[in-house]
Amino acid sequence: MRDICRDTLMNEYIHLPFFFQRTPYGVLLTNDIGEHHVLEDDDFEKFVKTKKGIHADILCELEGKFFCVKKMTQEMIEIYATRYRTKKYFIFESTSLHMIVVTNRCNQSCVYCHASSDDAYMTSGDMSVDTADLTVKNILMSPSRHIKIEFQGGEPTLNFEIIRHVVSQRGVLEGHGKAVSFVVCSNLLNVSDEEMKFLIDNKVSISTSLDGPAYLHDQCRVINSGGGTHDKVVNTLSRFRENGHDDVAALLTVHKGNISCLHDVVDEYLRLGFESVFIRGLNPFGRCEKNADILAYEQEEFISAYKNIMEYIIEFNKKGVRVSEEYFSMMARRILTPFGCGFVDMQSPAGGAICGLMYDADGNVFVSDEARMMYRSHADTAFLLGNVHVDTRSEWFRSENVERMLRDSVLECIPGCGWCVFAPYCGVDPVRIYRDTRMDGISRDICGGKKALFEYIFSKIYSEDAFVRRLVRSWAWQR
Amino acid sequence: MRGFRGVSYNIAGSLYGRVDAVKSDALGESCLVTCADDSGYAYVRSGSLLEGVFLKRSWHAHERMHLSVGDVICLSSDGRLIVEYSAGSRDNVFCVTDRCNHRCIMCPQHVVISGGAVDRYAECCRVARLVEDSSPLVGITGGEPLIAPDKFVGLVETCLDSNANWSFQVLTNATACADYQLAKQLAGYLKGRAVFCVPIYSDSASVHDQIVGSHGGLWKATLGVHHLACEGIDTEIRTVLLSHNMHRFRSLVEFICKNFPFAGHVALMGQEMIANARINMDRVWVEPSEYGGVLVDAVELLDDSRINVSIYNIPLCMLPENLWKYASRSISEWKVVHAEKCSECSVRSECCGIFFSNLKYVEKYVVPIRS
Ligand code: SF4
Ligand code: SF4
Repeated sequence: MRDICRDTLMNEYIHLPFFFQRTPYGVLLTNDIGEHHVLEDDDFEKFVKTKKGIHADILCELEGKFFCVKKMTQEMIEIYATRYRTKKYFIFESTSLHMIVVTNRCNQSCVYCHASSDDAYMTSGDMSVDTADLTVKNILMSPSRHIKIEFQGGEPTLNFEIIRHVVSQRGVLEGHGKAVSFVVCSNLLNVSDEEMKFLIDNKVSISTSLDGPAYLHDQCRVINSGGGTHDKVVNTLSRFRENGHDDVAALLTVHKGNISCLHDVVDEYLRLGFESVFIRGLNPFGRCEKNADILAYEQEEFISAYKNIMEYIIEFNKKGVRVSEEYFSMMARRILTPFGCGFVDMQSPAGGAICGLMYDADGNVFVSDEARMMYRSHADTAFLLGNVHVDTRSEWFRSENVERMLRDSVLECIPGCGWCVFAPYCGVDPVRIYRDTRMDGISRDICGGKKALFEYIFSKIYSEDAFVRRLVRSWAWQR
Repeated sequence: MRGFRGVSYNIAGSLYGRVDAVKSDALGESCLVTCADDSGYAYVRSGSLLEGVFLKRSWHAHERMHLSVGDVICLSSDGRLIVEYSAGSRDNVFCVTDRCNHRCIMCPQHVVISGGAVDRYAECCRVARLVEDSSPLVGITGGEPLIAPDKFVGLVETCLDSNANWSFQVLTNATACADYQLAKQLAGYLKGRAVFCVPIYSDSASVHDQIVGSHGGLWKATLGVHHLACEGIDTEIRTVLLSHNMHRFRSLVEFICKNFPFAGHVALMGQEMIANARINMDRVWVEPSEYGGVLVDAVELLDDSRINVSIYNIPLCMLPENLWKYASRSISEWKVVHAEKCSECSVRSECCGIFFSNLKYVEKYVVPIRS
C-alpha cells in the first residue's frame, strides 16, 4: 500500500516556498502558513534536489504540510491563502487594544519605570473628562468588534474618576455592536474598598506587577519615599480574591537584580496561586534607560536564564503542578496551531495602530506605549499620530508615520529576517528598532535574542521526551 | 431502512403513503395508509387475513410485522414494502442517488459507475411531503447527494416547505462546494439546520486522492468545507481507519486540527466490510488489534486541540477502556448484529455492536467485558 504514493509522488512534485535552517536535530523547514518539519540532512538534500530515494512517507508528510505538491491547483492555492489569512487575522481585525493613560502621576517610583512618571520630562497630568470623551469617540470608530480598553499610567487609580467615567460608557460601546472588556494596570498600592467594589462589579480585569518574593520585588518596586511594596501588592491581591474576583494577572520585569533568581519568582507566583508567569525582559525606555548600569544584563544572560527557568517550569509540570510561561505559550500557539496570537510587540507587520493605540493623558495618540516613551523621553515625534482634540482616527491612519512604521516592520523586507526560518512566527517592534539604531548606533542587532529563544522552543517541540511534546502542545492550544 | 416482502394487490409501480392508523389484533396488524398526493387510501395487513378479497390497493404478508403511525412507506407492485421514514426515529436516511464523483476503494455503497444510475431525489421529495413528525431529522446520503445540486436544493426546499423544523445530516464529500456560490446557496436554506459530514482520509493529497479515486479530491473537499464553514454551516470531519492511513494517522489528525479547527466534531470510524470495501479487503482492512494505540494518540490530539471527537463502529471490547467514553452507538439498527459471546458482556447496552458484514472478520476479537 505504501507504494501508492511512491508511484505517484516520486519525481513529480513541485516545491512550495519554504525557509530552512540546520539544527542539531536535523534541518528545520518552515513556511509562511506556519507549518514546520524536520528532515535528516540526507533527506533534505534529496528533497531539495528532487532526487530519488526519499521515503514516500516523508514526501506525504511534506505534502500534508504544504512544503510540496504534486500538482498546483486553484483549490490548493485558495486553501493556502486561507491558512495565511488565518495566521494574519490581526490585520483584518483592526484596532482592538486601546490603552488609555488616565494619569501620568504615580505613587511609586520604580527603578526601571519605562513610562517615566518622573515629572522632569514634561508637565505630568491627569486626563480630563473632555479628553476621555473624545478618546472613547475615536475608539468607537475602530471597525474592530472586540474592544479592549486598558487603563495605564502612571498609576491609573490615582485618577479613578476617569476610569469610572470610561467604564460607564460600556453601554454606548456595546450599543455599537462591540464586545468590550476593561483592564486596569495598577500597582495595587491604594485601591480603596469602594474602588475595588466598582472594579469587581464592572468586571474590570486587573493587571499588576510582581517581581517575585519581597526580597526581589522590593529591589525595584519602591514608593516615592523609599519603602518596598511587596506586602501591599500581595495584600490587595488577596482582598480581590476574597471578594471573588479571580481575574487578576501579574507581570514580571527581569533585570540584573533578579535574573539569577527567577526560580524564586516562579515559586512566589505559584504560592500566590498564579498558573502562569511572563518572563519579560527590560524595555530600554524612560528611567530604565537612565539606570542601565544597575539594571541591564547581557542578552546571553537573559537567554540562559530563560532556558533555566523553562526547565524548572517543565519539571513542575512533570510533578503534576500546572504552570506555564506566557511568551513560550504564545510562540507555541503560533507554531503549533493554525492561528496567530495577539502580541502587539511582535507582529509582522507591527501591531502598532492596526492592533493597538495609545492615548496619552493630554490626548496625544501614539502607535504604542514605546512610542509614547520615545516622545516623553526624547521628544521624538516619529510615532506620534495626532491628538484627540485636533484630529481623528481616519487622519491618524493616513499619516506618514503609520505607513512608515508598518512598512518598516514587514519581516520579509528586513535583512536577516527576510530569510530567517523563524520569520513565520516572529515580528519586530519598529519603535524599538528605531530607538536602538538612533541611540545605540546601527550596529545593534534587531533580532535581540529572539532567534535563540525560537531555537530553544523548537528543541522542545521536537523534544525526545513525549511528555514535553504534549505539554508544549497543550500550552499552544490552551485558551 | 427496513423492508418486507409480501404481495401487492391493485398497485402499479410504486405507491408512497403514510401510515395513519394501526390496529393490532390477535392474528396480526392492520394499517390504514394515506397515499401521496391525496390519492386516497391503501390497506396494509400482516399476519393472518381478516377478510378474503382485496378490492382496493392493498398489501399483505403472512409474517407479522409492525408499523407505527406516521411511518412513511413505499409499496411496489412486486410486493416490496419499504419503510422510507420511521416516525420519531433519529436514524432516518434519504438515499438520494447512486451516482458519485468519487470511487473510494472502501466505499460501502454499491455505487453505479455508468449507465443504470438511479437518482431518487424526486422519490425522497414525495416521502418528505408525507412526513408528519414535528421536528424531523434525516440523514441525506448517496452516492454523493450533491452530485445534482439543483435536485438537492429542491429536496431541501420541499422538506422545509412542508415543515420549517426539518434538520439534516448531509453525508457528502463536499467537493461540489468548492464552488462558493453553491455553498452560499445551501447556507441560505441550511444554516443552523444541517451538519455536513465530510470524509478526509489523509493529510497527503496524493494518498487521499488515491483512496477516493479522484485527482484534486482533497483540495476540493477541503475548500468545500471551508466555504461551508465560512457561510456558517456546521461541519463534521469523518475519517476511516484504513491500511493507507494507519501508519501516519497522527499526521492526518494534525492536518484536521490545522485545516478544520472550526469543525464541530470529528468522527474516527471503523470500516464496514461491504461493497467495494469487501472487494478490496486485502488492500484496506486493518485488524482491530491495531486500533488501540493509534486511536489513543488521535483522541488525545483532538482533545488537546479542543475539538469534539467520537469513535464510530468499533465495539468496546476492541478499544482501550480509556476511550470508551468517546465511543458512540453508531451502527444503525438494521445493520447491527452481536456475536454470540456478546450475551455474556456487561457493557452490551453501551456497545455499538458489529456490522453484520464484519462479523466473520472480527468475531475472533470479541471478548465479553465482565464487570
Ligand atoms: S527577529 Fe530574529 S528570529 Fe525574528 S525573524 Fe528576525 S532574525 Fe528571525
Ligand atoms: S463483547 Fe460484544 S457487546 Fe461486549 S463490547 Fe464486545 S462486541 Fe460489544
